Amino acid sequence: MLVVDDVRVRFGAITAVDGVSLTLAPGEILGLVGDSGCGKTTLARVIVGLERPESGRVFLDGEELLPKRRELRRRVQLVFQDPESCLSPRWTIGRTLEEPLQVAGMGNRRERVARVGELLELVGLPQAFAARQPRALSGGQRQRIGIARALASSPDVLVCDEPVSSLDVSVRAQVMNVLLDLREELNLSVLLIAHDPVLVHQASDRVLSMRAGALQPG
Amino acid sequence: MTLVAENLTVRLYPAKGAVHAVNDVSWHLEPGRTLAIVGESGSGKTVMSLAPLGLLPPGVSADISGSLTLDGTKPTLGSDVGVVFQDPPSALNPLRRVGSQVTDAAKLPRKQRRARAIELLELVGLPDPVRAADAYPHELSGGMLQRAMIAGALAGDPRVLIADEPTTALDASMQEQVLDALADLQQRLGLALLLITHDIGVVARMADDVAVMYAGRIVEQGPASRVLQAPEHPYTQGLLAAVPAADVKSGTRFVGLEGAPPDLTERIRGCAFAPRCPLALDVCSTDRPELVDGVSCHVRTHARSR
Repeated sequence: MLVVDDVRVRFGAITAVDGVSLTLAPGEILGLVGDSGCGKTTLARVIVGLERPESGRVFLDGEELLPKRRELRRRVQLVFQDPESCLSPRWTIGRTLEEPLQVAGMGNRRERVARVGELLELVGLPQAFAARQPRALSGGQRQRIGIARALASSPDVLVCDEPVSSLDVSVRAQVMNVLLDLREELNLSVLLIAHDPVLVHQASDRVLSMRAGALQPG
Repeated sequence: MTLVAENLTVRLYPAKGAVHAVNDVSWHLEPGRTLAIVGESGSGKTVMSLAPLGLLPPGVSADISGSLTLDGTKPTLGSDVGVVFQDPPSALNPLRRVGSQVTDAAKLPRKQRRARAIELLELVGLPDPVRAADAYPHELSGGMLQRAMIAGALAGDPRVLIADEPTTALDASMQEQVLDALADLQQRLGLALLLITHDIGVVARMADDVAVMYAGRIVEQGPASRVLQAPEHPYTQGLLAAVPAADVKSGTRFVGLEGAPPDLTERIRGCAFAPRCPLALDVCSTDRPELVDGVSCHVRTHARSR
């Protein structure tokens, strides 16, 4: 269970996140909607540890997610809006997926290659994709690689910030269905952040709405 | 004053290779009407609309055949056709006041520029046009900036407005403002509006006619009401089915198309949509379908002939 308790973030005179509290249960997809500038991305960055809040805390299964506790941090991962930002154009997909395993010191080379195959399978792509370059992939496939990379450290929580807004309408389903499948297969918790309320409602068990840094009632 | 595209074909030459971006596309657009060009990224909708006016991505050259004409002559950018671009913050200079940029397209003596800018900003419905003219881009909201872009496109008194994804970069509430402004201007000025978009909601709200593009060709075209309510091409059907509906139960799987559009640097045999088409026949992968009665599809031709 992920618990966000009274998180506040200020950038100079602007309060980007103004005392937000929420809970996210295992296997739950929680939607978070709001216009650009409402603070939803800043909140996501706090949850995954990329932004330090002025006050407030984030807990995973009762333990506080402090910047120093890297083991615990690995269990909360971010999927970026633009998959390009986590793919090196010069690396094969296999290498991109293997890197986080290597950094975490997981297994030997053979075990890591096997794990890369598992990760591809989890996002519905053939294992042969490991040998491909990012440019040979479509936008929907690239975003699925972005999700696979976030899954490398076997997280409990995935924070997805606008995971499909850079994609064409007809391929958004590929990515959204992967999220629904992962929840089913891995009992993963997903915080789904997007500005499109219709899309978020279809995917989520609950939906929260954010405005001017605060959650809206109702 | 009808804008006519006839057998328009555009081949692009980036640094390396050639892209068959637009292939044999024809349509016409009359004053006061809105034609929506619908398609996904890479379908050729922007190139088709802007390349004939000389607007190309930097470092890219183009080979254009067929024609785009306004009453039989080649349209001039600015005075015949105004263009509204997708992303106002990147199209505007952050160091110049909005008012001075709005009148760039109008060749006016310096003294008249400010008054004209204020007039144009008022025309697009900005609440305080004087303040907007004196503001720098960062001082205005996204919706206000996009309306200022529309004002700029109107500076040369064009008869046709091309709007390339005018609301894509905006939040929902801002989208409303911009679409309202476009609809209002069109009515008051009798403009012909060529609306390039991937957003079916925008099409439903604004368009009289629709042309659906896939891999550089029009696969379906006709009155918006007909195409949206009874799409005949499997690609149009798939595209419409992929739009999430408000009344769907939470946790329902999403509907979309498998696969991805083809690589336009290679020659395409048969129908470009065939590899993704749930209804494809043998003939689809060998022969290119012709556009008949607004639909370019073997499956439909086959069904009709039986």
